[in-house]
Amino acid sequence: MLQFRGKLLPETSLVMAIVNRTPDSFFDRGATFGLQAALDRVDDVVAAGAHIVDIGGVKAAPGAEVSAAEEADRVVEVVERVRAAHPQVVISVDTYRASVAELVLAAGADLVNDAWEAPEPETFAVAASFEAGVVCTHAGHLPPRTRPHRVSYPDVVADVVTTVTGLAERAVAAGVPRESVLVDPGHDFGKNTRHSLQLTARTSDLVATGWPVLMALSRKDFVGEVLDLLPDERLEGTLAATAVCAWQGARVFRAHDVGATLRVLRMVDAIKGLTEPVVNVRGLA
Amino acid sequence: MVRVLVFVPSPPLLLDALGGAITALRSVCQQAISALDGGDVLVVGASPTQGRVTGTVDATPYGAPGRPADRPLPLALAVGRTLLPAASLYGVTATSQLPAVEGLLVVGDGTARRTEKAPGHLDERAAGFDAVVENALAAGDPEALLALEPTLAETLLVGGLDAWRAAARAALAEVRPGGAAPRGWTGAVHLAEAPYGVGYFVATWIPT
Repeated sequence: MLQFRGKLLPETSLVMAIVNRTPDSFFDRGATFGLQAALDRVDDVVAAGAHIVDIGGVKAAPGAEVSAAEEADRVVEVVERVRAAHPQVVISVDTYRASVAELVLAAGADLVNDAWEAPEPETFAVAASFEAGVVCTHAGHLPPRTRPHRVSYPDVVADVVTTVTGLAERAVAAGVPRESVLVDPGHDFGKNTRHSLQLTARTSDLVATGWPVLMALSRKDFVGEVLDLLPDERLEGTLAATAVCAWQGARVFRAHDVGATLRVLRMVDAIKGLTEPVVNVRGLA
Repeated sequence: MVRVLVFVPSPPLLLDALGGAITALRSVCQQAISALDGGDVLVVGASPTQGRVTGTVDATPYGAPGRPADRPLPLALAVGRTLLPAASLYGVTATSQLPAVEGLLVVGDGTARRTEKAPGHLDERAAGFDAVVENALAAGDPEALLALEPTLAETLLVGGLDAWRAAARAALAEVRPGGAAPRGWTGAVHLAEAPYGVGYFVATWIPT
């Protein structure tokens, strides 16, 4: 059972909608950088059925330095406004900084999505103090906002399993509620395309750890390289990977395309027998 | 004594199991390597330890299919083995001296910060650093390679420094003062590019 600060999530596959308060993220390129645009995006994705909104103030790739104060300026007010407008939606904030995590949790966020392997380990204690959740992500042991250069692993899946389960246990030891911890293999982060494909194919190895698995696949470079397509052409590739991971038991999917991702997950859940068809009259009338 | 030095880069993309993306680079490398025709040739590349190395080319750590090798070669030596399978392999560290051989295949790259999309993102100093390397290779100038600044090289993610410096020491040791051959080295750069933001050089040195 997954829950974040008292908000219980259904036992189906779940969607975490990406909301970027950034001028330079790779896909939306500043489309929701403005406060009102970000709030409108949240309204849209909640209406579309997103279970979690993931608000970010710093793009993942290298680029212009964003101070902690600037990051907080970008995300704290969004969190406050979303908390007021959508009391039941789970609010996640994409940050690797403990200081920013503290501010957004105080503003009403439920989950800290740290995509960089907990470079500031006090984030766990901060989350624990609010009884909030954390995402424990494998980033290839690289510093935040760096790219992989010739990274190699004896076994990338084993490295991911060891790393994220270790982080998850540390989070729980710091007081984060066990039912509020997600693990993320970190596609593309500290990995080449073949590594990300192996992690996709062997999602079940990570699911077998028992920790609920978050997959952040949306329009990433591993999809782009497989198909030789630009970010705005990567929807089908993303959805194919989404289906493969959901079938193997990944629970949460961080997505730009909320409606399409939800439809894929509903279909996979129905195939797995997790959910009933919405309509079921064919041949039965 | 050393008669020919050939310089090539060491991206994993040059390994057979990962190939395909940069066939043009590979063919320029192969053409340059043809200068190492026979004789006692040593492949020189960065390694955790100095000295002769045995092992297997293994691309599985980079995601290639197959079973991992028991003794995988360091990347530069794996690329060297791929390009010149018959040669012996010699791992170098910062201060290595090379044994006496007739030919050297020197495997290493320039900076990895040439563009915003480069692995290490853009560093404005990277293009200048790589230009110094290119000029040194073109001029057959071992002293210029030995003068490269190690701290800056590390910041710029230069992969080839140790191999270049070991080769430069070997090349410098061959130069005879007072007019006897070789009086120096004649360099030729066949390729100097950074198609993925990483500096690749293919060059040849022969005695003057």
